[in-house]
Amino acid sequence: MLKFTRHPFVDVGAAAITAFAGKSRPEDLSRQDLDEVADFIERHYTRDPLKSFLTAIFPNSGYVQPAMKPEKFAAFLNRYLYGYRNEESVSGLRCVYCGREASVRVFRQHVPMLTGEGILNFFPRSAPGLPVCGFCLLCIQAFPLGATKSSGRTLIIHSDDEQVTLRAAKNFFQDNLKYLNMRDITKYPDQKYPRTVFVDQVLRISEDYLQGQEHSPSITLYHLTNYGTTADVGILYLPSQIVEFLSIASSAKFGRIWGEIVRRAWQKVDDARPGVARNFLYEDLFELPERAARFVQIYFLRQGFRASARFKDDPRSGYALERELNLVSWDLTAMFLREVMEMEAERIKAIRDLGDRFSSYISKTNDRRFFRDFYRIDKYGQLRGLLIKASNAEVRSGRSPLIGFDEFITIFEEGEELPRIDWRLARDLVLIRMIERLHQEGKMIEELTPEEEEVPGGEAAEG
Amino acid sequence: MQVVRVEMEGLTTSFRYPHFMWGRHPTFEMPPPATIYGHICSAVGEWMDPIGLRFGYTFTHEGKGEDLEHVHAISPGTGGPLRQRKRGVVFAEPVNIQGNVNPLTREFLFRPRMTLYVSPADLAEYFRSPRYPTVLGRSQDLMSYRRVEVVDLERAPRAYYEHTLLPWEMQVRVRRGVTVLMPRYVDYSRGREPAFERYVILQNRVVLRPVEERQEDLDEEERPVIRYEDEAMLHWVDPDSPEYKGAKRGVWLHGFTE
Ligand SMILES: [Zn+2]
Repeated sequence: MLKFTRHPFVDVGAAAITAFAGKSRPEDLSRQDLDEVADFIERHYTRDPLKSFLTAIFPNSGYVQPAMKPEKFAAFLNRYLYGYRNEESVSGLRCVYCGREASVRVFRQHVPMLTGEGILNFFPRSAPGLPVCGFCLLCIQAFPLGATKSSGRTLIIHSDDEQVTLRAAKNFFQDNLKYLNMRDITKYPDQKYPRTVFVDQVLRISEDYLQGQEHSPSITLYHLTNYGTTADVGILYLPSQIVEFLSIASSAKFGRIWGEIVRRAWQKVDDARPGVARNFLYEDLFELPERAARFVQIYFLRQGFRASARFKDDPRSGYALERELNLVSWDLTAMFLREVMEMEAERIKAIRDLGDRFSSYISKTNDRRFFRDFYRIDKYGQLRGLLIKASNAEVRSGRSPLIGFDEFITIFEEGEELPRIDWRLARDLVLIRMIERLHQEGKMIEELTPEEEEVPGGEAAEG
Repeated sequence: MQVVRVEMEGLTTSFRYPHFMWGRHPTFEMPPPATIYGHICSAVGEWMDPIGLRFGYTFTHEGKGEDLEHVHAISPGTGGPLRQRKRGVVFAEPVNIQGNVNPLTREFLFRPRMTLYVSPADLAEYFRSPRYPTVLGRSQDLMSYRRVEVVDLERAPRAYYEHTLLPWEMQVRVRRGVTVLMPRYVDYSRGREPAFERYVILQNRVVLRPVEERQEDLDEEERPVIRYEDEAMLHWVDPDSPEYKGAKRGVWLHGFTE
């Protein structure tokens, strides 16, 4: 009777009903399960805490209209909630979601983001309303059960992997049950920061599901309000490569360092957890791959970030390489380059080799000045000058040059496959490998790093 | 395989999510197949039989913006004369349709560019002399055809794909991109009944090639991220596209109905 249709509202509703019935797939639901969820909706949608939440989803519907007469309300429920029991049909039209025979035409009070009753725009043949079947309509009435409230709007998570849709809806449904069981609660709790809530959910699903999968799905967040004149929808995508990166990063191999990097990205407030606080790293994921260089600099090279005045509680301003050397990981960075930036394996290897050579050079010669200069450089000409000078010195001492011409081009100039890669990013990557190696060898990086007053690269400062 | 290759560009475009009608009209990042079907039909000048019609494209834009758009929200009128006074005017004529102006937020894409491949190739004459104004997206989103040619796509064991739409089944192979549910075809013979399909929007370049022995020797970690096909797969490639790692640009040819 119920099935996934690939439309977010219907699918999240089907997932919520599945969670409600304690089953594992919508196809497993019985007629009795549907009756039970419809009865649950009838009892809970008309009173708080759900009622206040629902005014932003189904405004003008029977659930939230105190003035609606009992017989009219009963007719509303019969048609739009219990419609799956009826034989009603709209002649010749199929449900736009599932292709079954349509039973009723619906408007904005039944399905969010449609037009109000009677409006002809966006519908074919001047026939207002969207034809849907009773089953899909029941799912849509149930989708708030698999949603949460965030910044005054409804937040749902949908994926091309049905397991992800199911698990997210189940998590939100269990939270909702908790709220419904609290006697003194009248207002539905609001979770701030939708992006943080989104990534938190994906990481939860990653732990017990995604990490075991061969490939990662794409996951979408819908953040909407259907309220009055402020109706609006925000759509955020986590492409499969970012989901894949998150899964690998939180797996056993990187889990310890990654967990700590994530922990230090929470907003500095008393209660730092999703829904209450934002996680800056989570939110920065949505700017990838466009701002990948900045991401590497802040989270992998632990560069202090000059926080804008807006966020006084931004933890990133407190990052300092000297204090966080144990969070600098080449392997984690290389995985990021591979998964998120799509950097070729050959190039990643060239960067790693150069980092190895530089760190050996510093170990051997104790050339602190070279390290400091390499760290501080902010003009491309200086970089070339520095590397030529150090190479010449090596050659004069009867050793091979620090960097060859082809290698220099490969690492610092060849950006064919990814124009985003600039020389500063390449420098930062070489630094990450150097610092990790020097730290492992017990070299005192503290002595090598420049004075506090300078923010290397200057890239991190938000304009 | 002979196809028409049409290069076009414009100033703005917008591809509405059909089920978000009120408050905000978000845009897809790439044109849905149903939009391409409409575009082809507008060049030809009539609703064509979609069977046998195939298309592929690369599509880019220079950024996304949003605008306030006036929607004339119309509803059926009473059919009788409008009696009530509105700003001192009484309309004696029967009112069949009435409407209000409403502002909606509309997302749009700036400077769209598309290379569209269409088969069969004998449609070329219609693109050289399109029947209706050339638009992509809304009726005000005018496009200019810069070049219309008939080209021979070639079969190749390797290809790269970028800025394009792939069937959802390819997601497991490219392991990249974003899955979207798009209108695939709108059936005008059945009262504009829509059909939807899942696709992958792929922005960044992905090379597909058969597994090479050299890669099998690599550690799992050093292997390129793309899982290549186990069995050989032949791609349609555009022979005039720039070569990258021994591959030409792949053109995925979609159908509208089958
Ligand atoms: Zn249906």
